[in-house]
Amino acid sequence: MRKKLALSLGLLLASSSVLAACGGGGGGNTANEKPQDTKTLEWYMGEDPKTLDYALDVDQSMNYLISNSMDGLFRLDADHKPQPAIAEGQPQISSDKKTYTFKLRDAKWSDGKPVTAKDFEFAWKRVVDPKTASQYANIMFFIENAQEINQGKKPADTLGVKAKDDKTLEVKLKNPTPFFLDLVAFATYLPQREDIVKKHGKAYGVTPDKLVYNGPFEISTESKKGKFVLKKNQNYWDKDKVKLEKVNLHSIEDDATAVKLYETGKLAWSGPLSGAFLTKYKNHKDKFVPPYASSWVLIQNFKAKDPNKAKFFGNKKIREAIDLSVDRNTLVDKVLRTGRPSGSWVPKEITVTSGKSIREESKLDPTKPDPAKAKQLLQEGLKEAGLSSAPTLEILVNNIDPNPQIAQYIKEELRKNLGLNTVVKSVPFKQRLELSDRGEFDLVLYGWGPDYNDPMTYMEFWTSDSPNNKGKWSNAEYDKLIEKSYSNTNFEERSKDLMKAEKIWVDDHATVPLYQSDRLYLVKPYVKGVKWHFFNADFDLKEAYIESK
Amino acid sequence: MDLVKYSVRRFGYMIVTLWFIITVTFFLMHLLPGSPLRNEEKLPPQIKEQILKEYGLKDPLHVQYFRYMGGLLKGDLGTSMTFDGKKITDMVMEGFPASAQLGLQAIILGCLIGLILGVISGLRRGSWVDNITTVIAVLGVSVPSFVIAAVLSYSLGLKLGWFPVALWGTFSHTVLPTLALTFIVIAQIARYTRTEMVEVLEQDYIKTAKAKGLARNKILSKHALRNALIPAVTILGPMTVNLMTGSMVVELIFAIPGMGKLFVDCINNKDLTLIMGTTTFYSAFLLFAIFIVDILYGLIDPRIRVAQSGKE
Repeated sequence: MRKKLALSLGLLLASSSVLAACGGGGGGNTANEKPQDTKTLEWYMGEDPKTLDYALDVDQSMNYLISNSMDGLFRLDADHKPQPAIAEGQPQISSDKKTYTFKLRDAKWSDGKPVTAKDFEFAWKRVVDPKTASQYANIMFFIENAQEINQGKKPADTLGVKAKDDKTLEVKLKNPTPFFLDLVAFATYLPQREDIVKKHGKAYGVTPDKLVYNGPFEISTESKKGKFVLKKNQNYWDKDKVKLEKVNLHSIEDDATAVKLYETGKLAWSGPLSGAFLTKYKNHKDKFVPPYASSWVLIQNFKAKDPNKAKFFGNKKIREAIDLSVDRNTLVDKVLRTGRPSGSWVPKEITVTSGKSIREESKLDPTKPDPAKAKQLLQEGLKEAGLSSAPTLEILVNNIDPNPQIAQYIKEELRKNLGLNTVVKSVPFKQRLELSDRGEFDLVLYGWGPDYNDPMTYMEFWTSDSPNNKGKWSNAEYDKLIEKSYSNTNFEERSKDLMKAEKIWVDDHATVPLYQSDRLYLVKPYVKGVKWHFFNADFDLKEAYIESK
Repeated sequence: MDLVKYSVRRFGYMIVTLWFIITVTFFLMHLLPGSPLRNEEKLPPQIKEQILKEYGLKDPLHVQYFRYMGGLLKGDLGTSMTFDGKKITDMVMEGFPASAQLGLQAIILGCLIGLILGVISGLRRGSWVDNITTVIAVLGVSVPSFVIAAVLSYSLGLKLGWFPVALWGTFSHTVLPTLALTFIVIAQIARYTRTEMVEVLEQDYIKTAKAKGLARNKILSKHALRNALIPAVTILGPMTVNLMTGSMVVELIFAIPGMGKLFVDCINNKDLTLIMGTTTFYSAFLLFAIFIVDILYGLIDPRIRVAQSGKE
């Protein structure tokens, strides 16, 4: 009797909690009344930042805080194009496109001291110094000697950056880098004050009071676990454009909680939504889909330890059969409920030298499923590879939603259309990484996001010696094109080469392109002027404001 | 004197147990896959090696162990590997106040309601109070706190607007999470107290007290309740520690800046120093609570003290 009672009441409560995720609000009845204080923005932040020392690493929350409290040489505009910030105008670029000379404007740190070229030189040398143990040092490897210094082969002083005087910074690059101005807008390239770093030592960047700021806001000392506060920086060189006095960023890690706070008007932004909320808020009037670039593929292991599996993936017809057997539209519509089917590696947000989207210049449509052809190709491929039957394959994924569901969907597609037996192995993220590093997988689901707006941020992933190339696909022509693109001073030709390389990757069925993900946010209509980005920090609140009437 | 000897011995056991837990955890956590690096996916292998060397993770395991134990003896829990430069002690202390406040509120409220319900239902077996207590006890034990939390947040927070749905700051922010956590306390305390009350009330010494004409209230408070409390005190120690060190799910649902999530995050991130820090803190707290409960036993029931000192 007790058990029955417990079970029925338990079920009653459980169903109520499901209702909490599914009920109310979906039609657009959220509390949209404007806050009384139009100078303070209540904003969402997934979790507390791991550090505020942007030389060490850049996690999402830290990037939210730092990108709004710091100014680099350049800053991204609303169209994701870098515009001069601490740099006064465009840099002077040498004829070999390897030396950039930046002139600095009059700007101050939050403690009133001037921002100088030395602050940049010091910061960049600190990042590449192996003693700093920066986890993002590789983003500086475009600068002359950065990689050698980081590997301990050269002293930090040899880095290709020099403060000619307080207002002039000269940067020498390893190769011509068309996206270098994107990079100088990134957190790792921000300036740091030597006196402050030395004063605080290991405590530098641990708490907001142990940093100085040169951007639109300062991270206030009011900040504490769970809530970080940005306050307008009165010493900011462009402070007239900053309209908000204060931004409270709340660390909320549960989707449902963020949505509830949004519904009750306690947050002006919530997202990215996932699971049931994607369906619930699909047609909500506050729905906002920001620009986002993240590419997802299924990597096949060409060097699988089982020789039969290596033969299996080594056959192009078999790879094409796998490609033809997965219906991406259903995957996106029914399983993910967001995103776009993909037939390429580089997402459409990435632009090439012409300024157009790479997908406008090089159309690579998603493969249309063709089970009959796929079956035929599989049979032919098995014969060519000398295999009597297809081996049982393992699909490796991390256990974060929706990855296990994607793997289950692919498993079913491969069974239904090709008669393949597969097993899904869903493991924690770190374990997935270790297993794929060791090559202990047959198929692994992988996603990649951009560090800068150039196809290279994706394309170097698949070179034969790339540590990211987990499946060990190798193509000499592809490698040659990428190698050439590193040093090509003809940027138009470089773009074409990169697109050609991507076409080789697609035609050879190097991996199975699946989808490019989208994000769905809820943003109060009274919030204006936020710049949303698909690389670097997700948003810029410098010119954001709350519409008063 | 007996009590002092008994306490010293229990304290000694506590220290040995703590050392054992720390040592086992230290070696076990190295079996976890991956490294504590965050940006691991985009990190070139040679930089990864360089950073691990900087962290001292390339040293032989026994060297790392003795270095850690040396630091621990000086009261240094080390710095986090994922929260760069942050001292573990600071991280624990940042989250502990919120978790401890919620835990204490839940324990106090839960004990109060649980004891009242337990005593009344023990005295009036089969009455409506007894039936309600049974329902609460069954519910409290079988329905997870995160379900209760979601229901409370949705109904009393979102729909009725009586309390904030989440976040931290004022007392009103603590109401819903406290209620979510207190259910299990009410259930456990009420269940144990009721069972024990029923048993104690049947004992000969209660009948003797009644026969001697002692007032009902005096019998209950002096003779029945004191003995009925022993099982409740047993579970109170570990329960207090569990609640005061934070419930990850309840803290997640109400966006509370507590320490519940640290326990899970440190494993997921393979933050070795944080794993050691949280384990040491939790174990020390738990062992201390058990130690206090042992002392309380001795005070409530001298037979336990005597039996354990081997004089019986």
